[in-house]
Amino acid sequence: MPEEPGPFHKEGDGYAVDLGAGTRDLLVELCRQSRLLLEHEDPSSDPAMDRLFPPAYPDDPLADLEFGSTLGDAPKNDKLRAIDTVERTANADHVTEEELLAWISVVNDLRLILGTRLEVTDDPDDEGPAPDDPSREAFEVYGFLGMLLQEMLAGIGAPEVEEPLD
Amino acid sequence: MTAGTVTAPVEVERPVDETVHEPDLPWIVIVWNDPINLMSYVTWVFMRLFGYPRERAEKLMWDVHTKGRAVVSSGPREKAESDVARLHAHGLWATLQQDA
Repeated sequence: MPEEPGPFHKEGDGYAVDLGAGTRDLLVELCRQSRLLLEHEDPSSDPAMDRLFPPAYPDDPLADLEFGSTLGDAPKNDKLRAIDTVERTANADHVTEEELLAWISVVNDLRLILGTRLEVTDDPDDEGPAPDDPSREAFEVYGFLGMLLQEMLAGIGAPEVEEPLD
Repeated sequence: MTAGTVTAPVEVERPVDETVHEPDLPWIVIVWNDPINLMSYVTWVFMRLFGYPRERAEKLMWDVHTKGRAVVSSGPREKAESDVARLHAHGLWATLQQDA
């Protein structure tokens, strides 16, 4: 028996996206929140932003400042562009490889944001907040995004090697 | 370094940045363990960014996971900075330093 294809699988020159409306709506809403965070917060004021843009030289503030100013707004703009792509293709049944890469990037960033907020640990027995805890829902979403990311990685398979930046 | 008697140099003012970078030593890129990134994702990023075969990418991922960190690439400072920027863009917690 051939294995049932996952929600993301190769189709023609791109990938089929087989997701329910609820998942697609959730992604659009999370994209909206992520965009607000990226546009209005900076790493010094928000631990989630610090996690998205970590220091390259944690022990050398001067070198780190220089590193950051060389890159400028490019890292943030890349993330915003990936969000644009996910919002634009959120209801698509077929995406290009480039679009699926944007989905992977956005979903992983969402996990970083939620995981930082929830202060998740490495402990596999960590069951998260109690069922009546206000952050329980965010924890469920965090877990769901992890499964979604696994499905996307299974769908895309071994990656094309990215061309290094000049 | 020379032996023998030399004239003591006048006192040299130390630069503000006391970090001394030896020009000949390569720079290393370190990825640190974090509790959020999936192991499958970290492996995938190593394959995608560095073109490592799956086996090598998985070994590096396990090093990060079990030892807390792994050196994933090295080279001149510009290349190491570019690698760190690309790892950050993919959500990995990476830093660079000169190899000791």
